[in-house]
Amino acid sequence: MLYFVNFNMPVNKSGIEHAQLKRIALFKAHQVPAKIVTRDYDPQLHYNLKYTDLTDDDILNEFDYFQDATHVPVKEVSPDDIKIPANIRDNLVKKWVADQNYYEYYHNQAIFMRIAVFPNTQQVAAVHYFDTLQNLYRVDYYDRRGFVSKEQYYTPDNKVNMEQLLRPDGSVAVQQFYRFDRSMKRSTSQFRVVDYNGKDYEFNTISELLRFCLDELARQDPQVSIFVSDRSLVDDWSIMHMQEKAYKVLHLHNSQTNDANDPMHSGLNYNYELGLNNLDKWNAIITATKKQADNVAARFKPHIPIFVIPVGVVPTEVLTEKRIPMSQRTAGKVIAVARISNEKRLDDLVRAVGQARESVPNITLDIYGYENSENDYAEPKKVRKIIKDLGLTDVVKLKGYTNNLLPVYQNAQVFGLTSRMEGFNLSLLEAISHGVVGETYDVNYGPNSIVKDGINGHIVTLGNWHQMANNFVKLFKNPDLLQKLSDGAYQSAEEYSPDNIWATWINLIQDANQKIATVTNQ
Amino acid sequence: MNYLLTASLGEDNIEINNNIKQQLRVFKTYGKPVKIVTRDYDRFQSQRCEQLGIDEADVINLFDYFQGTVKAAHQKPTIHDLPQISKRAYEIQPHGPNYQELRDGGRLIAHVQIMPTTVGQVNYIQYFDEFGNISVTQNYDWRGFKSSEDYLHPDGNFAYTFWFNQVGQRVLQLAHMYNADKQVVPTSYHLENYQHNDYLFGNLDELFSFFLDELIKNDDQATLVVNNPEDLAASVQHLAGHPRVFLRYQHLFDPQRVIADSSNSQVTDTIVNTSSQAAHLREQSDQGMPAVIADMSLSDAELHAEYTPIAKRKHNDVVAFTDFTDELSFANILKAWHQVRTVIPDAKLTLCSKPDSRVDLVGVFKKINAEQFQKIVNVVIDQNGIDQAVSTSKLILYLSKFAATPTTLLYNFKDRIPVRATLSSELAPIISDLGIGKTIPSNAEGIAKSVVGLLQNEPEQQAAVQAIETVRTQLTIDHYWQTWQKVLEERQVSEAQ
Repeated sequence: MLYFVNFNMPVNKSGIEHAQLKRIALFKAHQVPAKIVTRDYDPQLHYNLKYTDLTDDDILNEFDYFQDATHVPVKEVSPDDIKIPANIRDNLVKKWVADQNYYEYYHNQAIFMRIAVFPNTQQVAAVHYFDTLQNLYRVDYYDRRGFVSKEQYYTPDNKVNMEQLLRPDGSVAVQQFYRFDRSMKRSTSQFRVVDYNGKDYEFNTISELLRFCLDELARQDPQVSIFVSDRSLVDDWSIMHMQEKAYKVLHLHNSQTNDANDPMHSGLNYNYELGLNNLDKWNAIITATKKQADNVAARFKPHIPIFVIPVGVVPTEVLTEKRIPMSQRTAGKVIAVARISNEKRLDDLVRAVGQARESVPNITLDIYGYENSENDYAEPKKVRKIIKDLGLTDVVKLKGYTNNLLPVYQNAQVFGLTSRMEGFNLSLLEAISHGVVGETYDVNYGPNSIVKDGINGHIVTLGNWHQMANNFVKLFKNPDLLQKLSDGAYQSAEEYSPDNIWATWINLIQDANQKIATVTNQ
Repeated sequence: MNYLLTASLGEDNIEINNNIKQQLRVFKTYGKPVKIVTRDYDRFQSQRCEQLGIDEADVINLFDYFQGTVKAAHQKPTIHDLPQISKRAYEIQPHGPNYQELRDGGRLIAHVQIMPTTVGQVNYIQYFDEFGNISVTQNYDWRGFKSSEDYLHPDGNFAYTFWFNQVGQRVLQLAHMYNADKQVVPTSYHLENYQHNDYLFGNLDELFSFFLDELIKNDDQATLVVNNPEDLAASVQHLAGHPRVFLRYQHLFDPQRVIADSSNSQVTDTIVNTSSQAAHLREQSDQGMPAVIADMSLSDAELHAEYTPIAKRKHNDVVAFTDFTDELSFANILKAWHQVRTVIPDAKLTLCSKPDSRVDLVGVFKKINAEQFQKIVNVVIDQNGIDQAVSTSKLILYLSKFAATPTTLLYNFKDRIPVRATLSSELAPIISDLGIGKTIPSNAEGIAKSVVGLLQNEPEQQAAVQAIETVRTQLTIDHYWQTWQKVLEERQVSEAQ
């Protein structure tokens, strides 16, 4: 079994989650067992699977695992199903607080309970319990499938003190404590797994807990277990410290160095520093491009194989879909699909569009992606300011995150990418697979592999947005060139066909089977 | 059913425990259905029953009731027996007879405290985080199952207590949060899934009311005898049901409070120990209460039991029941003992009291030491210590007002030990009425004179013993039952009218 480890599968997904979804689809198509393993508690995880093609069989959350809640039938739980204390049912007042999405319950004018529902439903999301002096002392969180999955207990000053994660039958599966650490800061201080196969276990950190969970998966797996670290900061320690035999893979989803364009000397990307400094604890590395694999090999000289496996898979139905000529798309439409964060450098793209507009009045730019909240949304604020300063408010639109990009790709002519670094860039691959022409900085890794200069787009000197602006002008002033590069884009997507990508995974699986089987035999 | 209510059978409740044993015995002897009902959580209750000679089947505790553990098989699990402890993951380190530790590569996972007087039976398990904070304390019942868990707030205050049934499901939780003065106090009990319903109570009194109502809801003959009504009256006043309720006072700590509690419509009658207590209340109230019953009887076996005659008690040992919050009385007895020692150099004194959280025992010992009485004056506040001291004494003194109850006098009657009570003692009138001893002044001189007079005068000792011998034959269970019966039946008649 292959396990692809991550923190969660949220509605707003980053490239890593998208890569995992494509990978799972590939493995399902080839009937090779694989699962996404998520670390963090999320009462809506299974509900949110409806935004993907995943089923409950395809994903395993570590808390669900201990809670015996990997597969739970959905049950309706409405506020009327919540027990009102029988001795205070008389003189009860129930109030709906619309802006908070909850009901409040009063007895003798004192609040004793509050029931929150999921938006636009009457499905209970949480029940807040108050003591007789109206202190909030406990909140029960409901899994979207209709059972109490977490009890959260509070301190008198309204901080979380302790949490209990429950099984659907109500028994305690995991306890989590929040106490003062050595610097007298309140932090997660302990996890207790309760009655797991009849035993209790103690863990200091969530990484230790995840390690235990992964070991349990490996221990019970009749096949060779392959664990892929997809979100290294979340999972690499846990995978590296596993005690059961397993094939451990460090997946570099991004540049391994802070300066992606100085791979031999630049400091290591903090996401991968621990993993790369402990290569003896891994069995393999995955990079998305050959260029990155070569750079890693040159610098680290690992004694483990590096597999080049593009994170994107272009489905056969996309490769064979009817091509949409440029003339049927919105003229001058540039798109970017990226979260609005500093490393994406979207302000450069805005500037390039601004400059090109002087020659191409109908050029427009739509940016799809969620806004990074870091530093109080500093980057989105910056991008908005530049749009305003350049007078591009009618030209450049921040469209937010969307789960349905197909019509966007089918209507756009050019995909712009101005990142400082990348690990692959799935959106760019998706765009070219739908015939969108790529305009990208010469950035490691991915964009300068996916875009082939003069074939399916252009590679622009890193940071030279003037050059990108000139390319926009050249493309939009020359329909034949635009169509030629679009045809090239459709064609170049073949490289990422399911068969081609699957072949690279087969190599890895064979290596795992060979090495782990050898260890077992010894 | 007759329910004999008490806060607990704990060691701190020596006086009430002895009273309630008397009550239980007389009801059982006369075939009357009876149960002791205890309110407080006490995971050692079954051990206390053993120690008190009470059949645990005669006791129902509130927490046991909701936990479904009123009846539970006895086991004595050690840490090695507990299935949830992974011996593969953790090392169990022994540390002598009192505790063990669970360690993981040196890191302390849990402290395992062992039940006193047992070989390894788990008392509680305290789990720690890596910073040394207590995460949870799992408390085991004397009968050998996990009964409750305590959780703390980060500042070390109690946060929550969970109680479990025998299959480990939580049935009750208690939260400690801020009161209006921002002090962390118990603020609510949440009873879960009791007969498919949840209940919320603001305090233990409310929960106890609910429990009593549950206990008696199908019993139209229910009679509640409320021992320590100082603690329990509030609960019976709010009962939904209407049993017969007797508030049974041992002391009149606050007569006005007694009158107020007794006038509650739920209360059938009030019972005090002595006629002088009754008279005192009648002086202050025109409600015609109370009845008088002294919990003081001897079984046939006790009446005919062997004892050590005073003549064979070789040492001049004296026991004095006192109340250390009565500082004057304490000072007087120490002063008196200097005077006694000048005449009888080997006279030794044991001061007996009930445990009292208001008393600073260190201060008590300092005062004793300041008098150079380290080897002469002893202090005991436990049942065994009192029994031991009484077994060798030639005289029992009752010093301060609330030092003892009539049940305490049974020490005198069982072992034929002369008795003296100061005029301030609540027992002075009953001792006078029964003619079993003298009342004496409360000052040091009066006490010393009385002690010396008795210890040096064998004829007086014999006379005192004879007086006791005469009265003790009246303390039959039959006589005691008649007193109870009269009170219970009188009330039944008056209710019928």
